[in-house]
Amino acid sequence: MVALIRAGASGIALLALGLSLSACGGSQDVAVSNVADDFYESVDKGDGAAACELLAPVTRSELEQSSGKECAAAIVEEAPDIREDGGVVEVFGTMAQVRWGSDTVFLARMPNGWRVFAAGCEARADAPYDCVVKGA
Amino acid sequence: MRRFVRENSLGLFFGLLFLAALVGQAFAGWHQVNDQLDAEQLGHLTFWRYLTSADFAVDVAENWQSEFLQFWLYLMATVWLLQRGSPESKELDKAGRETDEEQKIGKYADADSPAWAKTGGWRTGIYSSSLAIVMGLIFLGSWLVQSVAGWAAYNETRLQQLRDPIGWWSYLGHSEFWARTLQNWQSEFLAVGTLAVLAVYLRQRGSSQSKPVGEPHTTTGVDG
Repeated sequence: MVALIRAGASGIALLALGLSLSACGGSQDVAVSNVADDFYESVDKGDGAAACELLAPVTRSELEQSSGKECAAAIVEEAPDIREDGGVVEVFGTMAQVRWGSDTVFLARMPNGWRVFAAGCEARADAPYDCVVKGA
Repeated sequence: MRRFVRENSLGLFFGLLFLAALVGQAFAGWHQVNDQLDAEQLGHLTFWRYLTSADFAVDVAENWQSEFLQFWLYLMATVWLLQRGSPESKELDKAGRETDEEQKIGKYADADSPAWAKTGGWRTGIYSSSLAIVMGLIFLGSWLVQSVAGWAAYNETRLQQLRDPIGWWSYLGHSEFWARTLQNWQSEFLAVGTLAVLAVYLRQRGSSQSKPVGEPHTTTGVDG
């Protein structure tokens, strides 16, 4: 019976861990939202260098490769200039999404914080988003 | 101390095996996830971050739920279902919950019977099914954890693929949830059914799960 109670306690611990995973997203929402806002603010101001600092490395190199330009120049040209408040944030593990009415951005959690993985994304029926800037 | 270890060696052995396998799973899973992140060029997870990730939780929980379901079903099925010649089965005329006298409860309890077996009423009712209740609750809890952690892990993958995440309710009806669940269930049902049937004809000398080596194939409900 003691073994069963211990097994029960282990199960409850696992249950708590699993349920806490869904709550973890909430604490990350603000960080994700801030990075997305800072990214678009930099693009809006024409500060390509600052916007590029907020790109995931894979996205940055993909952008430079596809445009044939330095990131700072390419990002200002290619990323859409969108200034809307109140995007809907979704966070799952190392990935996040911020959805506004007309645009969506995807972020990845890197060792140095959240970084933009794809931006200027438009939803398509039954298919992945079509993104102006994306990592792969 | 030596006596304690000898008299509890079965529980201690499996407890240690469990811990060693769980630690091994954690390290292997951590490297596996980082290998996938390498392919996506998305950086690395620290070991601690992996331990608290949905990926690790769902991989642990999906196996837990199926194991506890297996034992819960086995407990319940062996109350009523029989297997002629199997040491896993009760004798053929004993299907069902049996009489209070056979189960030593209430006025038929022995002096050293558990207290709740003697008292009668709801306490004896609960105690009579306590093993199945606890196993069943662990199964349900683990399955719930699998659904929550699996949902989070699946949505993480969807975001990497630049797709919208789905809600938990949608995930409960999704092929991903049921593929994870049923791939575990089928193997558990196969293993337990195989043990019950093979033990009719095959033996393991000295095991409590086998008949004595010389016991006829037709003998049912006799352990070694």
